[in-house]
Amino acid sequence: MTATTSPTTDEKPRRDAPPEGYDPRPRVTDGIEPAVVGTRCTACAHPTLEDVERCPVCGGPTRPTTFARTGTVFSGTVLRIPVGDRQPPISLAYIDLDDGPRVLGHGQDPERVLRPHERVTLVGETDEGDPAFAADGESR
Amino acid sequence: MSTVVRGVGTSAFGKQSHRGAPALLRDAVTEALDDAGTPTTGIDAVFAGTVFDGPGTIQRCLQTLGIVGVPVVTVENACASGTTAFHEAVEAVRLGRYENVLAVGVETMTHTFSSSIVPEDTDREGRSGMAMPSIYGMAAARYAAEFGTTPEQLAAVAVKNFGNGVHNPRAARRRGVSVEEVLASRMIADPLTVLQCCGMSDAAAAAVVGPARNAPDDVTVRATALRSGGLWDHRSTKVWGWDVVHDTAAAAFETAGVGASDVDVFEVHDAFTIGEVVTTEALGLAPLGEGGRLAAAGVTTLSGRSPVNPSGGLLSRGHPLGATGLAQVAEIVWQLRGLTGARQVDGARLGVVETMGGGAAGIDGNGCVVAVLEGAA
Repeated sequence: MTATTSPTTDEKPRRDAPPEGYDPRPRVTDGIEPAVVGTRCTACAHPTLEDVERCPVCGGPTRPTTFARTGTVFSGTVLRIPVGDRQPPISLAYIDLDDGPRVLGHGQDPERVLRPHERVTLVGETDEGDPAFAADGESR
Repeated sequence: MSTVVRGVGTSAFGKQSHRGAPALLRDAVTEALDDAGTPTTGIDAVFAGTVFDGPGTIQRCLQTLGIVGVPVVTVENACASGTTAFHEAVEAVRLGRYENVLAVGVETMTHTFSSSIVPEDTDREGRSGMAMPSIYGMAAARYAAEFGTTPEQLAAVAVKNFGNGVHNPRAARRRGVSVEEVLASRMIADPLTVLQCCGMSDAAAAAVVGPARNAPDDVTVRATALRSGGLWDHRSTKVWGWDVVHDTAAAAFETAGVGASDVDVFEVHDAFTIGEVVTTEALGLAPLGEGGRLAAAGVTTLSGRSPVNPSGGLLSRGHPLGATGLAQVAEIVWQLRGLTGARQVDGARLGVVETMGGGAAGIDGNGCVVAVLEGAA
């Protein structure tokens, strides 16, 4: 697994791409400082991963935004069974972004459990197109 | 007029994809109808639960019993599909729509999946590889970090439930296990090992519900409650599922006019050991963070203060999603009638069923059902 931004050319089909191409996962911006894209309510400031027109908390209007790259692990695990076409190990964690929502991310190192309260930084996407995080102090 | 469970039935649980849904469902429904003393022609309506079995499955099955020409409503509510069907059947009777309602659930897991459940790829987390063991593994890791819940405490849940399941002839996995064996088994999602995860199985389960009729074996439905989870996001301090179970149970207990301490026996959703820990807390059997102590201290054993999962639970019985909730209802009905032999909770009069299902990212569970049942005095 590498944690690079999505290439704009020379793209290869995702291994587990659904037939219609709908991808519900959060989008991650390209560049050396990637960020998760979402929306924020202009009334109550609630952040949402989905591209919603109305805030699910207060019903207020939203605007597109990007969220902080840094966050804190709510919890994490390493899954050691295949999931569809994905092969183990798979490091998964809920990350509370510093100014944003809780996002499901993949650990850059698939063998490493991201522990509750660890500080992490978004480093891009996995080869499969998932948000990828590295723990502070972990080589990137 | 109160609503009662008149009869219950289940198929055997296990890997039996060669039998198919119609045969499994016939086993469950025939037993439930015989138990209720209701002929197939006496059923007014059917509420059914299944998650992965295909379109038309329930009608395809019911026609083989001659149950045709009646309203059939199939619901999907993840692991709570069977209990959602039960809840809707109870509500239909309570509101006076029907008098003999069949609630049934079926799932042929080993026909649908070659190994574990493949998560939904139109879900943002399912598409990212979020299988059910990983969300429960994260709950267990959070409990270890926040509350010091130990691997041995988690394993104690498996030891208890597998031990109970030895006495359940319908359970898929009937063998006792030790704490050491549980912890040494293959890791699935840190820190959960394979003996802390329910197995894949195929089965059906059913109940016949109607108005009270003064029959001594009928079991009174004191309350049922159904809720979907609230938003679960960066504001949520509790692990996934805690709040929806708590809120659903609070609603059911309020309607029934009882509390968790009044309940003699529980069947709860232990798809993973940590699931029972979280659920028993949310039901009110222990303060937040202290659910890990219950099984290890004997509180939830058959002879404990609050016995949980005398059937062996999902860990021993197996977890065919649509069938699970109605199998839980069946176990509580048998417990309240005193019919469960070596796994009987002595003198059980008030029982609770809890099922919680998930899979949709961003909420605290797709749905939860809590039912409070009471046997004859």
